[in-house]
Amino acid sequence: MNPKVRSILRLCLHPSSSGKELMLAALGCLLGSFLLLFAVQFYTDSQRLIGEKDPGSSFFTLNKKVQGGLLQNLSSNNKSFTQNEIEQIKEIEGVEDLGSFSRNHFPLTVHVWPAGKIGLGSAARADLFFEAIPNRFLDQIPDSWDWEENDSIVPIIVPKFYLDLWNFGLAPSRPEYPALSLDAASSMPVEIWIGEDQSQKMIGRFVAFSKRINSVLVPQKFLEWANRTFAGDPNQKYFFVWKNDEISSPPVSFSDLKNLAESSLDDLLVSPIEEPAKRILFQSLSGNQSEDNQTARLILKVKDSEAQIFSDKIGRVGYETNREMPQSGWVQQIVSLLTWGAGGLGGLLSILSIGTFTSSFKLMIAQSSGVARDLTHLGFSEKQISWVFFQKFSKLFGLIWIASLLLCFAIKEMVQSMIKAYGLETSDGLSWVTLLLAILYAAVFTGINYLVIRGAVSTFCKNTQN
Amino acid sequence: MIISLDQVIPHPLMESGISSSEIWGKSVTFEKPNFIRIEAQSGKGKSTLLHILYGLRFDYQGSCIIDGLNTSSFSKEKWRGLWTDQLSLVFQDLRLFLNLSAKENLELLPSTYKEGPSMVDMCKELSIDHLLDCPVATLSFGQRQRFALVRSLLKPFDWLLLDEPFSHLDEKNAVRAAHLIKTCAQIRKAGVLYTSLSTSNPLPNDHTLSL
Repeated sequence: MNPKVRSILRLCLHPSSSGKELMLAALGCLLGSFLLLFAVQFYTDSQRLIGEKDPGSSFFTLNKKVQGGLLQNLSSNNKSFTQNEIEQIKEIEGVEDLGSFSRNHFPLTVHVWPAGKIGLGSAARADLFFEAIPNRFLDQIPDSWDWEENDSIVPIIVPKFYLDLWNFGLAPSRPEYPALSLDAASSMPVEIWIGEDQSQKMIGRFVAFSKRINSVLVPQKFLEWANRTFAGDPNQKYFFVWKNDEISSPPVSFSDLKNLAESSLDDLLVSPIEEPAKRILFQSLSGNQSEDNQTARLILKVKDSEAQIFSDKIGRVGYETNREMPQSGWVQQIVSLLTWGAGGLGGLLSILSIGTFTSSFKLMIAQSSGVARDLTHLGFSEKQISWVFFQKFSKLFGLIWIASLLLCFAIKEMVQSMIKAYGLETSDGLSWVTLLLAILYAAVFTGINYLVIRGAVSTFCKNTQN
Repeated sequence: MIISLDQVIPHPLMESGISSSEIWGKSVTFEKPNFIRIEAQSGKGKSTLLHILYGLRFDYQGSCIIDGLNTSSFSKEKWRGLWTDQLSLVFQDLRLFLNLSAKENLELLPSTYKEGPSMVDMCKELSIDHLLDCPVATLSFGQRQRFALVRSLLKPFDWLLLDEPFSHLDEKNAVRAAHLIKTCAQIRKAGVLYTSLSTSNPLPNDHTLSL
């Protein structure tokens, strides 16, 4: 069919009324499709905000209980997990993954400069520690997280609630400390002073604020390097060996002593070369030295459905757990409620709008049934006639579809700018799930209406045969 | 294209007297390129006959056969093909689209016959070329009848069916229209089957059958 004939055909089948019905259907469709799409977008954003990269999983840190008084805990008291204990924990039902925290073996003090420049204003000073965990347990891995030897900046991840404590606890009580947004906190220089005498200095920056891990984290590679560089190798320390209340030989390295102890002497007495009179049992020394390389804290990924049982089990064994940023049930419930509420309402409105749309088009076709019949008698096919109505529908639905996507995008951007003030961030634009649903929705809506239009044209042409 | 009617009696006419009819209840064959006049008084089924031949009515007994095939077995698509390329009908009520201009009505065809006089030439011949851009709703019935005739002549056809084509035309315009019909039919080597109330008609007349 040539374009001129097609345009006359459209003119010929132009309905005289049914505008109100169509407007009503269009409004319902717009509202329904927007609610449906927004419900899905809301759900995906919520899941991201909750930090549920691993849906259906919770994260726990695990350590042994610290008991007893000050003096008891000052003495050597190993709180590390043995390999056997770790294996047993792995076997507990629901445990999906297990990783260990490694920590610094050297004294550490940090100076944080909230004014954004070292030497400008007052610095917040604190003795601190660094820990590292495998990257797969992090809830976010910033681009700058990778660290290589000779890199000038040490990336640091701190818990998000540290920033909250600063903003709502420390800053209001100390006029020299300003409240900090996420961006401002990320640009603060952090001086890292290493050693008892703070002889070494490095510069760090907060690259992320974790909602999962309650610790001050640095990259594993950096921590290994720093421990090697600043803590020294325990195997290279030298000791005097005592026999019969006197030093029996020249100083012996720790690694050589270990070999010696393993071969025979369970009650071997030694003293450090810097304190020759301080005799200690080598076994206890061995325990302390090797403790540095042992695991005192574990991080576990546990199935959500098993989390409570796991928590109870681990409590009975005598370990302490800290569920990292608990995936509060009520938050999930509210998210689900809002999602299902908006989605359900959107679905209902969409179904109703399909009904209204089809009724409007049936009415439109009924009004043009005489014309449609005469057109078929001239040789036009029902398909050609249906196509005119379908094009009319497609134009209207296309506008509604684009409008609902734009509306969804606009509302999402508005909500995003609002929650940004609370340090929360979602991904830019609409999620692929939302876009996929939008395409699916358009396909279903269009398909149903096409079939209805074809059916109605066929019926009305048949009923007005003469 | 050969059209035959075999013992066809429309249901509404079963009770009325059809014994004198040369078509109803008889076997007749229409072969092109003849001009066949169907002559009858009102109520004898002139329009019904054309509607049966055009595939719009099936409320009859007997068989309507086109090219050896019973039309009752024709599919919707088969009829559409006939309406597009082989049959052309001028309805008694014309069935023009009143919301369109006369020209748009003439252009609104799924296929047109390329040889023979053009749309404008036909309209000039019938003295309606100046009315081409007028909405059909504003035209007189006589003017509409001429446009409906032009529309039917613009289509390709083997048989042209005309239901009282000159009922609202004066003698002068009827003669011009008859001349145009004859020209177009000759170009196509088509047959023309037309109904008429009276015996006087300017169209050629190879056969006359009364209903």
